[in-house]
Amino acid sequence: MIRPFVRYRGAHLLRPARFDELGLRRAISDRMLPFLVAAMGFLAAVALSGWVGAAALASSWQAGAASALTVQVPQPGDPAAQGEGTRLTRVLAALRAAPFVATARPLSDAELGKLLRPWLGAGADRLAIPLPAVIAVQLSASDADIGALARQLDALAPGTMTEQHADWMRRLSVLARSLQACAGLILLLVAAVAVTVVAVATRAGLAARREAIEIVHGLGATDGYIAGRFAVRATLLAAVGGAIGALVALPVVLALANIAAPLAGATPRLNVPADVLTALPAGLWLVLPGLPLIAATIGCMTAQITVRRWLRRLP
Amino acid sequence: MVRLQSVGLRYDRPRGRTSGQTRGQTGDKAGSDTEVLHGLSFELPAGAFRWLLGPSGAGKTSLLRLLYLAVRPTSGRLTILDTDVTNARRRVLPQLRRRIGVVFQDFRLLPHLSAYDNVALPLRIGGRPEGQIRADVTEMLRWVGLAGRLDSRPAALSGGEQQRVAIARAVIARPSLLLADEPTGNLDDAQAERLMHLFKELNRLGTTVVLATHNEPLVARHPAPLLRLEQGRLVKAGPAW
Repeated sequence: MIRPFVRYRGAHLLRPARFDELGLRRAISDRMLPFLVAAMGFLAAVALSGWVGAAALASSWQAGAASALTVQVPQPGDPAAQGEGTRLTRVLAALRAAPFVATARPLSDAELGKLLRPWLGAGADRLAIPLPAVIAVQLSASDADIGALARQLDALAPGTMTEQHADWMRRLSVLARSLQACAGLILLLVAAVAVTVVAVATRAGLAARREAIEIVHGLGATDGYIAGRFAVRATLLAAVGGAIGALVALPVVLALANIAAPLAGATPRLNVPADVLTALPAGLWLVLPGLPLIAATIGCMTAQITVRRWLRRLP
Repeated sequence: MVRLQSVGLRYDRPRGRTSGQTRGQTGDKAGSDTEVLHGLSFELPAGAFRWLLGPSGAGKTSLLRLLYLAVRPTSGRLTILDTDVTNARRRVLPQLRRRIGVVFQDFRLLPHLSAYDNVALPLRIGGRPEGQIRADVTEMLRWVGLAGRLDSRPAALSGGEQQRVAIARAVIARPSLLLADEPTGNLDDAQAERLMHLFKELNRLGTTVVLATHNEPLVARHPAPLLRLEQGRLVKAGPAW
């Protein structure tokens, strides 16, 4: 039922789709522009994945820094200064009683040995060095008063050291944010280069079709009509370029995500390279298909503006 | 309809913008600050028919360029199709241009389009539905004797055939004002007479026609009021022949 209607429209009402009065199919080549836009699209995809990845790392590291605590108790087996039990059991009990502590777990001798191996070599536990007990603490609230907790623990077992990971986590987080800023800068540059590429191609097309444009202008074509012809061509070519760039970038981005996965320990599913859909953050799956769209928009807007500005020289 | 009040035209910048269209008219004079038309004043009522005469370099093509809105006057006041275009906004001009048909001396056909598409161009620019376009364009090309050359590109056509395509394109949209620069230059006498018949017929139907030519015998065979230019000045305007 629809077919005759469509044919009717096509045959009688609309200008032929392939009617190319300005000869733009040859003036704006279908090789150079898509290739350059594809290169821009590839760079944009990689920079975007860098942006998203750095953001994920920064936030997971920041969350970890805020919620992790290390408590060292020297001479853990000695009796506590207050109350019954050893220094370690009293500190543990106090930690577990604190309202903002999620878990408090003393590291085993094996885990401690592993931590010290770089400094003391294998078999550190056989050396006659008095080692402190180390308790890994996870906080349930990030705004906990760590200072008060530290004073309380020190009173129970003098010499106990309470250390929040915030400092070096903050440094890592700053690093991640800097990476993110770099990725953002690269994206801006890539967009600027893409605009320039489309503008240069459009200007070349204007120069090549100057006479045809003057004729069409003389026959009463509006600026919008002429700019529209260029914009259609630029939009199509830029969209094709953007799609190619995004497709080529996909395996690269997947590989990068795979490499970065262990660094963002909070999301272990990144470790599953077989499951392509979950291997990338959801944000990237939105942005990658959007690349051809963004490229098309850049192509359309740039061509429109370039042609309309150029046309102002005609009366 | 068309009114000029002490209109002057000066090509002040020697850049390439107007090259090709001023060739032969301004020649090498168009260096800088060359006034090619001085103080032109005349009026064409609707439905007028005028010959535009004058030696080469007198300013005929420049006057036509003013009339088809390819340039605006640098002095004076110009009214085209009852619209003052001296200082009109740019965006009102396309609508006016669609009501003006022009036959250029060098045809100015689009080389990559067929004869059919060249003639259809003004209608498509005007947004006419394709169904009407096909009938009108086919009929027009048949009338100028090119029914068998619909799909030919300009390069495959002779000079006379190209000129007929250019004429078909100029009149296809039934313009209110028809301007032609040496429209019979590449036609034999029989074709030229046929063309004059078309122009007169359009004029009879209400189109204002201005024909620039050197062909004095043609003017003699089809007497009409003259506009005679010499060195950019109007030396005769009126019915005297």
